[in-house]
Amino acid sequence: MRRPASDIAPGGRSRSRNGMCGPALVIALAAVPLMAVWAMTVGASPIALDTILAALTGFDGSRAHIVVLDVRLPRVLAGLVVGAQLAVAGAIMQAVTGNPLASPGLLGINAGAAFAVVLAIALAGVDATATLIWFAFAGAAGAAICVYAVGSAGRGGATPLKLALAGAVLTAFLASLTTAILLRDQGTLDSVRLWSVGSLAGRPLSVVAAVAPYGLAGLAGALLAARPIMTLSLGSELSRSVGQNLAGWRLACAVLVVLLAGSAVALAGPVGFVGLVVPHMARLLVGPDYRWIIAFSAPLGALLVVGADAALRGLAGIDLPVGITMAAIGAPVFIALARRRAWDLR
Amino acid sequence: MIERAPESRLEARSISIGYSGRDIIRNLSFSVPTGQFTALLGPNGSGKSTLLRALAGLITPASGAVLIDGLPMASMSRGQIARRLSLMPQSPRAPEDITVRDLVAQGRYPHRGLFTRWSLADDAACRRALELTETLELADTPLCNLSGGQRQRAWTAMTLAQSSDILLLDEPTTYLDISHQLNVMALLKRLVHEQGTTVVAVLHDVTQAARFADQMLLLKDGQLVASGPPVQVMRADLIAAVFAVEATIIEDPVDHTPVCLARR
Repeated sequence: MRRPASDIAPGGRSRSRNGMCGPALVIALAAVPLMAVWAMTVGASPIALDTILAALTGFDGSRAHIVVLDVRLPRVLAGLVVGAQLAVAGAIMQAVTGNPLASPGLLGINAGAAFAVVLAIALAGVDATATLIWFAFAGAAGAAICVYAVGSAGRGGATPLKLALAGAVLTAFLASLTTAILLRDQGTLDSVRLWSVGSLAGRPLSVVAAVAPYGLAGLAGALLAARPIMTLSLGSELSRSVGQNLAGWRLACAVLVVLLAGSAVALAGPVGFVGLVVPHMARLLVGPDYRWIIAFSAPLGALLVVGADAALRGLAGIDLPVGITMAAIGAPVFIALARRRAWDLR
Repeated sequence: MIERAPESRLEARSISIGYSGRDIIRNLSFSVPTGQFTALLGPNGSGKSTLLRALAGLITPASGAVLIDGLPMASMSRGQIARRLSLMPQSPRAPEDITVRDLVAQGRYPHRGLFTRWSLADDAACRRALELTETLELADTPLCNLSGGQRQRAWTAMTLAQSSDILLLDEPTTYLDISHQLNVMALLKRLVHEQGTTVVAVLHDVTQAARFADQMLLLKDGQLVASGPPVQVMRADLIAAVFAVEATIIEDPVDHTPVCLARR
């Protein structure tokens, strides 16, 4: 025995599970660059793996290298950050609300951010990403406040079902407003049509670079706050008894979610289902401990979005916006979840 | 000469608490005797749980103050309070799939900063809590596989892992069968007498309280009716006044503690 003094591993987690989580996380993280490089080989014209690597290490100005650096690399990088951010935002929301259906897509956060961005483009003519992202944050925060206020009205407070309903209603409402604006304004329609269903295509590297710092800050914050989030996930009663500042941490989590989901939407539009599905995948792998769920959600979300974005192009040669691919993957999972957990959603 | 009250670290000073115009606690003053087992009794709706939650700092009184170590609780953070006292809520709930060990580890929350790693002290406190509650062998079992009594012990272990010397428990025996009730009561008594812990528990069984507790507190309509050692408080007239039952008090032939036989 190497540590005879104790059988409680660091973090208070039982050693057996802890022992498997660490290597599994390393594998998930190692899969991310592999997936990214494979995704870059896929596209309108296939580019060989060695050309990709050559372009990344020594740019020679050839057409293939320009495609890799100006088209494929930004698209893959956007997929990585958007996937990780939405998945971690969903994990935080599920932990804090105790609601298995909580996610930025279902609770209206994505729709709020998207609406605010479209509004800014159409009415104020804003087109700088650095400015748009603040509209996305404001829209995400506004939607979060709305859904929470509506969902917690009435008897029983913010039950999972009421929150999900409030989120669905707000999402439908904001999506139709967004469509109305896009239909009225032909110029806006062209530039944001693809974006408004969730797409990674056509983001220049400069836009990715402008948005990524906010998302990466959100990811770092989520990892730092993973332990308090774990305590929050055990319920308000336990949280209060062990001396957690409940209101303070809930607010901090809301800020993290707005930062993560808002910047993801600013970059790729409202990509749904990532924040719902990935935390459940992580939970299946690592159990109920949100410290691990959050840590796994980041690479799994990145893998899912980059994979979903590239798979259709690679296998069928069809270039669909990732928001549509994710909906096709996510909707059945959502139905399965809702059926399985129906009993505890009341 | 005035008799000196037992030394106290936790004290309610003329507190009043009300919800929507109705007073639950009215101008109540009470010092929790340090290193003793105090039982809080009263009929349903007498304000026992409310008083306990106020003592834990979870409810701020509309008037008056709760003091811990002479400091008003209202001026302290939840963490500062949680290092001094721990509360076990009534029928607490947590996600069903977490293990006893993970639940108990949560008790260390107030002792850890955001960047502090799990320490040997955390380890020792958890192990001690598991041992005291005899849950060591259940440590890797998820909550959903535990019986009601085992669950109660797991939650008690989490409360103990907090390593505070004041323990507040809201109806720790309510949903347990009689053997598990006795286990919990014996554990509380042992904590008081062996570890010097101060225990305040809301209880329903008057006789059980008289057998295990050092002090009894009778509450009715948010006011203190009687307080003192069981032999002083267990009087037919007091029981009648508080619980509206006719009772005969006899002596337990084994323990010589008072036994309440409620008749009507």
